Order: sequence, then C-alpha cells, then structure tokens
Amino acid sequence: MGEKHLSSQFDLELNAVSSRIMELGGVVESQIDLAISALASFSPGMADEVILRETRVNQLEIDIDQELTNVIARRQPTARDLRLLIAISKTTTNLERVGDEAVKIARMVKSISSSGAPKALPATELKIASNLADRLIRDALDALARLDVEAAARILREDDLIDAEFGGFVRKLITYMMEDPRTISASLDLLFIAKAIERIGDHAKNIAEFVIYIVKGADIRHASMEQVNAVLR
Amino acid sequence: MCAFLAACVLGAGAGMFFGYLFSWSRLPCALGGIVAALALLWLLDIKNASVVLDWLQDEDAAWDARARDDGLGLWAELSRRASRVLRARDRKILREHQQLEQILSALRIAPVGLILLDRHDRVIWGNASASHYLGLFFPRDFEQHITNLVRQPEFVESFESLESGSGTKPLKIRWGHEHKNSLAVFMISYDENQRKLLMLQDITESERADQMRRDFVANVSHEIRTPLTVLSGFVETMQTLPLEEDERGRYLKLMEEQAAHMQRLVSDLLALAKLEGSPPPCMDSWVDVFNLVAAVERMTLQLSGDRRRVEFRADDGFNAQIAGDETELLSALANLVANAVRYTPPECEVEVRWSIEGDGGGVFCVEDNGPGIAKEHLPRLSERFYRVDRSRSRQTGGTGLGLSIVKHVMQRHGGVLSIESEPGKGSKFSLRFPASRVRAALRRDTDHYAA
Repeated sequence: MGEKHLSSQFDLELNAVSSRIMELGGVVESQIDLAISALASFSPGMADEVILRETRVNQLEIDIDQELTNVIARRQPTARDLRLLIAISKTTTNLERVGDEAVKIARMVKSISSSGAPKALPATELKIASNLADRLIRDALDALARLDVEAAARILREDDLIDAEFGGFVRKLITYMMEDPRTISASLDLLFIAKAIERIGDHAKNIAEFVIYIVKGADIRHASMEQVNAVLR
Repeated sequence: MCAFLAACVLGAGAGMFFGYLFSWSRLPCALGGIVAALALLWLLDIKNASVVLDWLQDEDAAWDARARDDGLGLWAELSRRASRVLRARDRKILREHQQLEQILSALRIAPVGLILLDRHDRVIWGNASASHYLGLFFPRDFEQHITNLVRQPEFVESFESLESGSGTKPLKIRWGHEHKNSLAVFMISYDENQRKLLMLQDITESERADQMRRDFVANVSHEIRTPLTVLSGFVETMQTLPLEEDERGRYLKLMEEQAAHMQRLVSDLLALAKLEGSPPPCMDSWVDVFNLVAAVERMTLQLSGDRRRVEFRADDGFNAQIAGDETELLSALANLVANAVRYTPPECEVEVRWSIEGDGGGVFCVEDNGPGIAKEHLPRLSERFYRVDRSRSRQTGGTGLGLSIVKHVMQRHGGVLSIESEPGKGSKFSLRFPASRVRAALRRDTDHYAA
C-alpha cells in the first residue's frame, strides 16, 4: 500500500498505519472463523474465544485512530494520501463492527447451546452464507492491501448472493416456527445470527468501496452498478 | 614510440631538405620539420582515438566486441584488449545468470513453500507452492508486506517475537478451502540485514495420519476391553458366588466365546500387520481358482453348517489361476463370504461368482439379497473397526477388521475391492484382479461347479 514520497519518514508512518489496520483485519477474520466453527459445532468454548478477542479489536481500533490523528496533524496529507487515511479510518470502524457481529454470533451460539434445542433447527443452512461472508471480508482486506480495484468491484457484485441466502433462510425459519411454536425462541436467535452474517457481508462491501475511493478518488457509495462500472472504466 | 622517432627523423630530414632547396639555415628548418611532423602525427592520433571512442560509445558494437585493427596502431591494441576484457566479463555474467536461473527454477517448483522477505517484511521472492498455500500472486505481490496479506493473528505475533529476538518455534496456521488444511511455518532470519526466509510445509497429511493412529489405538483398546470386561465379570461371579453345575457350565461357555472373540481379534490384527509389513506376493506362484473356491466352500460349511445356502457359480468354469499368495487370497474370499453369511438373515441367499472379464481380468463377486448397506457407510466400510451398526455387529462375532484385510490383500495383488449396495435389495462385493495376474488353467472336471 502507498507510493514513494520525498519524506521517507512519511512513507514509514503510512506503512505502519496500514500494517496496523491489516493486523486488526486479521484479528477480526479469526473472530469470524471461530464464530463460524462455533456455529457449526455449537461449541461454547470457541464462542468464548471469539468474545475474548473483542478486547484486542477494541484496543487496535483506539490505537489506529490515535496514529491517524497524529499523521494527519503532523503531515497534513493531500490527494491520495488523504484519501488513504480517511479510508483507513472508515475501514477501522467497519472492521470493528464486523468484530461486534462475530461476537453477537458467538453470544447467540452460547445462548442456543445452553437452552439446548439446536438439532431440530436448520443451523447448517447458515454454513453457506457464513462461509460467503468470511470470504468476502478476506477478499475485501486483500483488495485493500493490494489496492486492487478489480477485486473490489467483484466484491460489490457478490454481496447480493448473501442477501439472497438471507432471504431464503428467513423463509425457512418461518416454516419451522409455524410447525412448532416451541422452536420460536431458538429460531429468533438463529435469525439474529443470519442477520449478523448479512451485516458482515455489507461491511465487506463498504471496505471494497473505500478501496475504489482510494485508487480512483470517486465516492461510489449508494451508486448504482452502472455508475460504478463507469468509474472503473 | 617507433612512430614518434620515425616522425622526428623524417620531419628533420624533410626540414633540412627544404632548407637546402631554399638555402635557409639548416637548424631552424630541421626543428620546424620535426614540429610539423609531430603535429601531423598528433592529428592522425586524434582521428584514431575518435574512431575508437565512437566504437566504445556505440553500445551494441561494444558488447559484441570485435577488435578495430585496421591501421590504428596503439589504439587498435587498446581496443583489442578492451574488447577481450569485456567479452570475458560478459561470459562470466551470463554464466552466473544461468546458474542463478537454474537454482531459482529448482526452488520455484520445490514442494515446500519458500518466501524471501526484506527487513521490513516485504516479499522479495516466493515460489509457486508458497503462493498456492497463502493465496498470494507472484510477482504481483512482491514488495507487499507479508502481514498485510497473511493476517492470521498467530502469524503476525510470531513476526513480532522474531523481531524481539525471542526465538521461533515452527508455527501452525490453517489454510485452503474452509481452512481445512494445516501448514507448518518456519521463520529464519538469515543475515545481518534482518532478511528472512519463510518456509512453509503442508502438514495436513501427517496430521491426518497422526489422528488415524490415535483413533486406531483407541479402537483396538476398546475392542479388546469389551470381551475382557465380560470375562473378568464372570470370573468374579464364579469366585464369589456358589453356582449350580449347569449355571457354571453356561458361564464357562460364554467365557469361552469371549476368549475366542479376543483371539480372532488379535489374529486379525496380526494378519493386518503382516500384510502391511511383508513384500508384495510374487507373480510366479499360481493359485488354482478351483482349489480356492473348494476351500472357501468347506469353510462356509464349517461356519454355518447346512443352515445357509451359499451358491458357487462360474460363467466359464473355475479353470483359471491367479498369481499370488494362496493364504491371503483365501482369507480375502473367505472374509467376504463369512460377512455375507454373518450379516444377512438366514433366509437370504448368498452367491459367489467367478468370471473372466473382457480385458482378461478376473472377478470374484459375493452377492447377497440381504438388507443392504446405506450409501453413506460405503466409502468408510473398509476402514478398520468401522461399523455400520455398533450394537449388532459384535454379537455376530465380527472383529471389524475383515474388510480391511480384504482391501489390503487386493492392493497387494494389484486388484480392487469394490462395494455396491442398495438398502433393502442386497449387497455386492467384488474382487477384481488385473489381467496380468490371471491365466487359464488346464481343463479339469468342473461340472460340479459350472453354472
């Protein structure tokens, strides 16, 4: 990430802050991985581990914001550097939220496994969507590290897949709840998990948008796919 | 030097000649002649020097370096030497480049992943395995910070611990589709500039083998403990309680059954160990299919008496031979027949069929019309101690090793064990031998078996 400047110290600072955000990304990715494994096996141990890593994520978020403030105050960056720093700031917020969603999933897994009726519910159906969300976040962070606009555009196109999975899952849950009202409370927990997965996909999409913002300088949030393609051309 | 002296002499001579012609004083004329000759020589020299300079400045000509020697005197010699030196250097660079290229191409296809990092942990070079394991793209990802792309927290932390000098032990990270595979990462700092070498090794297989070994030991212990518990229970009962004669007899009968089961288990384990440890059976000892089938029939009669009907059929008679070890082949076939008898209800039929296939290979099929096996069990059926129905199969006396033994025997004979089954319809176990191991035997009286 980043290009050469006359001040090599500035380069080092930019590199340091981008390494930091990648570190944050790594921790958040591991949270998602663990949350998915916890969901697949309903293991409270893994869910606890997800919650434990939350403190690290919070600390990194504070550190990154601190470093960003320092760099902006001392270097007064312009153009692409400024865009990079702003995008990093927003990506940090997004990643922290993804971490929160992973913790949410972990909490729900614990709640379902303690009330003990997961078997009857279609929890495995979430596997496809959760793996998709995991991959999107991974790809988004890779795109950010490589400043790869093509990869970022792919992520924007793929987010719809998760939304479709989510819709299908909700319909399935409704049939379960109608058949047996005793499953309603566990179904609601699963619904929240599905929603959290869907949110992770949205955050991945946001990060992909920041990648395009850094490289192309165009703000494509809330833009249609045609407008995005026009920017990329 | 010669040219210089010659110019002096010639110049002096010419000067004196002109002096004589125009009757000037001789000495100044001679001196003037020398100066003029030297000036002429100098001009010529400058011209030659500029030719050589042009040649040197013309890069293409300089590097393929042929000497310019058409009457340039000292300059020709100079250019010859220069071109020789340049040529030698070119050859050396080329040789070293080729060596480097050879080493790199060997490293590139190495099955272990290799990545070189500079002091800021940026990727300098990496090979194909590394890019496959870590999902990197070379050369696009050169110059990237490795921790920006490989973000596992354990991996990032181990970098920090390497930098703080607290040593590194091999690190294990997950990779690949859904993180199902394991990767051992060795990190070595190899020079004073803190450049690093990352070595990545796929340890998925060895971890899986470790897991299988642990499972196997646990299974063996479990299988041996079960009959042992029963035995020691009866022993305790007989020691503490006064028993009637017929009760005593019944207990002893049960103890005998359990002891026999343990014995079968241990001998099966030994058979498997022997199959794995010994060299494959040779190609020049031929076993008669006829004898094989006859032996299996005798064993089946012993096992089930005449309560069960086992049909032996052959499309073209049993007049064939298989290259291999008779005891192994017998145990493979007998295991399949015993399984079929054991795991089907008494009213079901079992059929053993021998046939020669179109390509010359031979096939034994053991087919029953019993309850069949559900599809999800089929791929794991030949694993050691794998049981479709844990509660039932031990009652019937199986050890859980039979199909493993069959599979091993077939592997050693270059053949395949294939299993087809449909729940409710029956199962078909086939032993397929390759054509190279099957030959026709002399015609004999096989009417008894012929279909």
